[in-house]
Amino acid sequence: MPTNARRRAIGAFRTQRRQPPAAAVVVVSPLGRRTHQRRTPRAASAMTYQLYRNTTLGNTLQESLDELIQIQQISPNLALRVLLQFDRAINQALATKVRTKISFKASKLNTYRFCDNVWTFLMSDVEFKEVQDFAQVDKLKIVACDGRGEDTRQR
Amino acid sequence: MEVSAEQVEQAVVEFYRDPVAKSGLNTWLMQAQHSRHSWTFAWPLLDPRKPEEVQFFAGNTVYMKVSRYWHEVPKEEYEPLKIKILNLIAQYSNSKVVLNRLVKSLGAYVIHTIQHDWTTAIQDIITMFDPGTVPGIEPSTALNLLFSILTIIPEELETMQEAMSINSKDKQVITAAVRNSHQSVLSLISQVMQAAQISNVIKEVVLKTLNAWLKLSLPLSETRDLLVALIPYSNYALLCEPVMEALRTAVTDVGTYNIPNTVMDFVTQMLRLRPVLEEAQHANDENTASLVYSLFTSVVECHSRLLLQCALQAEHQATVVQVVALLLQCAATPGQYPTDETTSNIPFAVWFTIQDDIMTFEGEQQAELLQLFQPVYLKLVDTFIQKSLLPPDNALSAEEKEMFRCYRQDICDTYMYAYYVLRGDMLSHLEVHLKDAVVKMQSDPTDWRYLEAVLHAYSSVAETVAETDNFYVPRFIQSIPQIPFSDNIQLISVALTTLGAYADWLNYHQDHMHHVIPLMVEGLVNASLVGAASQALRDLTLECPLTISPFSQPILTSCQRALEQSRLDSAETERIMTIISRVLSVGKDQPTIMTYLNATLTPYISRLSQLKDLMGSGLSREQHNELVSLLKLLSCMSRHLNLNNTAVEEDDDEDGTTRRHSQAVSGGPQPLLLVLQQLMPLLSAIASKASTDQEVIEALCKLLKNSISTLVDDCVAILPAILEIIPQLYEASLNPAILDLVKQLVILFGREGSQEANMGVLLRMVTTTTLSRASTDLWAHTDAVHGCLALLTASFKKTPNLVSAHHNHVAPLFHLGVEALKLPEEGTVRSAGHFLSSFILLSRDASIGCLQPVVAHNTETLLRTLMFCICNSPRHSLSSFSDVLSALCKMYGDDLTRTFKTVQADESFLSPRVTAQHKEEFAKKVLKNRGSKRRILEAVTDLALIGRGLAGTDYGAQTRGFH
Repeated sequence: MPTNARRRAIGAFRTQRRQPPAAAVVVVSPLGRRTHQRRTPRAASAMTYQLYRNTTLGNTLQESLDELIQIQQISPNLALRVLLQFDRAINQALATKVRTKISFKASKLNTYRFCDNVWTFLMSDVEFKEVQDFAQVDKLKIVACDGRGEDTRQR
Repeated sequence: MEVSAEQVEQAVVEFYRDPVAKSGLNTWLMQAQHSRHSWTFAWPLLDPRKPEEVQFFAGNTVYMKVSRYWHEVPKEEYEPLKIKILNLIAQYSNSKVVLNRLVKSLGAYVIHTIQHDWTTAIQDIITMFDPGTVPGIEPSTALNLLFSILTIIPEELETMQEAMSINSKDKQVITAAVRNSHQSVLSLISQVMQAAQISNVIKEVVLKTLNAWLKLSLPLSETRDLLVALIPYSNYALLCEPVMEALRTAVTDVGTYNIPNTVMDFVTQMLRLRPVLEEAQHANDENTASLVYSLFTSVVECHSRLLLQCALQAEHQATVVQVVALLLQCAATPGQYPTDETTSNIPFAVWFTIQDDIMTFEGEQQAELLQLFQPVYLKLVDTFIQKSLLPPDNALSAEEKEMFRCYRQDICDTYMYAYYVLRGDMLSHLEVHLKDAVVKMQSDPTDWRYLEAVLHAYSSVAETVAETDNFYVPRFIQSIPQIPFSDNIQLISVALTTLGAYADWLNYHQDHMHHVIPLMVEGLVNASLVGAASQALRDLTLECPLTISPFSQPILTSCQRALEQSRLDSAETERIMTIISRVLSVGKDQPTIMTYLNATLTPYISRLSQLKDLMGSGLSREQHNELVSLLKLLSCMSRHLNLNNTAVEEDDDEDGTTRRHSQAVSGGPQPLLLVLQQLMPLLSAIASKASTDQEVIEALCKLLKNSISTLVDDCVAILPAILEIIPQLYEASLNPAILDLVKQLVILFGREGSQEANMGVLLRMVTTTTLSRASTDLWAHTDAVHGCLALLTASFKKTPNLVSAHHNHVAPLFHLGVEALKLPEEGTVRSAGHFLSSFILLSRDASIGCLQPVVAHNTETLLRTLMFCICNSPRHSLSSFSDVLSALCKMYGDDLTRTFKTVQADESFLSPRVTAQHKEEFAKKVLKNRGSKRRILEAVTDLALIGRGLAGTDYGAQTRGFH
């Protein structure tokens, strides 16, 4: 991955609703080959999604909490509070602090689906580009949720 | 343990005095706090004569006990407890620290009792702390105290679910009970806010109380009058923020979506804040201006669709237009961001929201809205061009530059949203700006920033316009050669980047290519521009492989000159090599390609050869980096120099692997093959000398992998050399990059008669080496184990014949997979899971008889390992364990039933948390649901929670989906 500028190091992106294009929006051209990602505008109040628990950071935190509970250093209730705080903090941070634009182009969009307001894209042979840096990955999965605040989405 | 007040007092004092004993005392004090004795020892310690830290500890203990240990309080003790807390609050009314704890205790008390036992709590508290009647407390203190308590109650409601173990259903009931008293609180707030003799300091506290109550979702119809009456208070610096906060909470509440008319009416009233804003601007009060702008930004973000619907109605249109104008004014705040102002960035999200919602309307309504918002977005484009002007050099610090970069990025995104509303109008508008900027530049070449900002705008919409525009984009592209760049490097760089962004459009408009190629080609031979020019040309060659073909000669000549003249960094050299390879891949005959490649590659290959010779005596750091860069350069070439790239026929396998016919269109061998045939002896020599150098191995493997992908079947000609290099490297280093390469080869050639034997030998070498080297210390070679098991899984699926050919390896490999399940790395465990599942599923295949006995003899070991890992390994690997269990269930159900019984009989296994009954239930669930992977995963998750002592806890329930 390129090293300059702030970027999200977590394999999930924010998005907007309805259209595939959004926070980490993936746009598919009529040819079905071209994709690029855009950053969403900041939400008024970040939604506390739990999907970031399934990231390196979230998994590691849960492992640590499991361990601390087992050696009786913290109670399960406290662990839950820590986890909920993690949800809040990471949603807030990703909604307000990330300003990097990374575009990518995939040779092939294998699967896409929109279920329960969540877009999922599976693609292969993807090249990421940020200004003059490139990174190549064989397979990519994008899970994109509505990046707006909870209040806004409840309409 | 028996704990007295004296002991606790002594321990607290010691805790603050003795740093050595701190840790031990902390544990003791926490235990004391959680014990039932704390109900007794806390009260005597709440004595003003005691040390302050002791009083604080006691206050904290009371709060903790009331909030979390309410179940220990007998019903008859409710009233005495309330009186104790209320008396202490009165007693500590002037001691802020302890008072806060006591007020929170009262808040927790109210939450526990308001439902059944103290239903009039709020009204009673208002009466009790009435400043006119409460004895012994100053009226202002009493008022402060009253509102502190009224603030704490809704705040405690927010935290009670986590802190007080109250479930969400009870929380709703309690919230409703508290909310029922809102009228008396609102009336009190209204009275106090109107009272002239009350200070703004108290009014600030009152507004915080109001905000806390508004968060309980009070109906806007009931709070509207009070909130509107608060607007004039925003003139006072101290009250501005809490007033705005209260307005925001009220207008963005979820309940407001059901009362659109009230909301619109309220938004109209909110426009009375405009004089406040004007006054703030007049006084250069950025803080107040930001607060007002943020409030209106929230309104639009929350109610954009409602506002758009109202914009279609004559009676409300003016309000909407005024709100949007206010935000437009915010975006156009004069001065340089972020040094002169930091408000213009506030409404960025609004411009997206509006355009997004406009697009949800249909037909005439959408057309009407687009017409209404067209001038808004055109003005926005004008504003952004001004606001994105680059500041003079050195005007910003490094941190400010970064903020400005982010700001320009937001502008860049917003241009795209503006384009969705304006379409051709935007490009027409940009064209006017472009002409103005060129005129300015012509009259004064130092005035280039305007032109740069316009080009930035063009580049922002490049991917959005795509190939659809046939009027404005051509005119823009045609105008490029006429722009007087005056050798301004920064400007030309932006122009190059912009043109690169239009690569996709150019692919569909070949006739415009000649306008852009000269600038790029010239840029390549300028040391200051080569970065941007190579980037733009790379984009062009990737997007337009065919359309760029007529310009190949000047491009190749410039690339050659760039490589000869400039001191390029490795990224630039790689980009130029990509350009060369892509250009040579289309429309050239083989002799031409080879002539060009010889001229280009010879210096690099000679240098590679020199470095190889120097390797014997050891390379310096620089030489080593140069060697890696050269391999990466060749790797770039091997990826892109593909004569079939544009005339590709694809034939997808079921796993998505693409096999291509590799013979060149011309009928001769691919030029890459000819290069590699020359190069392989050199690569072999490097491999033998750098067999433990991880960086070199990875670069070399990447080069070979790319070459195989490009050549596919044609690489048979260099296969012997590759098969010679691989064992040499793997035996020396166990690098996973080599396994990746082997996987590619095995999948490609494992089923072909002529190479099947070679692939078998290769696979045998890899497994033998991994087993002998990695098995002794799996933790140190987890990546090799990961790679090896992934390779074997792929082989099971694609070439099972290869794995089963080596009978004596099968059992040790199965054991390796089982042992790998215990490793901590998620990737390795996943790989082991896939391997074992594939192994088990394939083992019943009659044609591969050697696998079945291995599984049958090791079922118990595998089951014990799985159950142990389920209870002890990181939980994100549970799905891997579940997959193996599912496979075992499916193929060896009867064996598994017997094995479960043996495991259950071993009482010491997984004890003490997992009892024999737990094991029995787990076995039942697994065997009963052998057809359902999801249910088996549920059973595995249940066991994992039991094994960690998390079953039945909220935390356990919330983290069930961990895997």
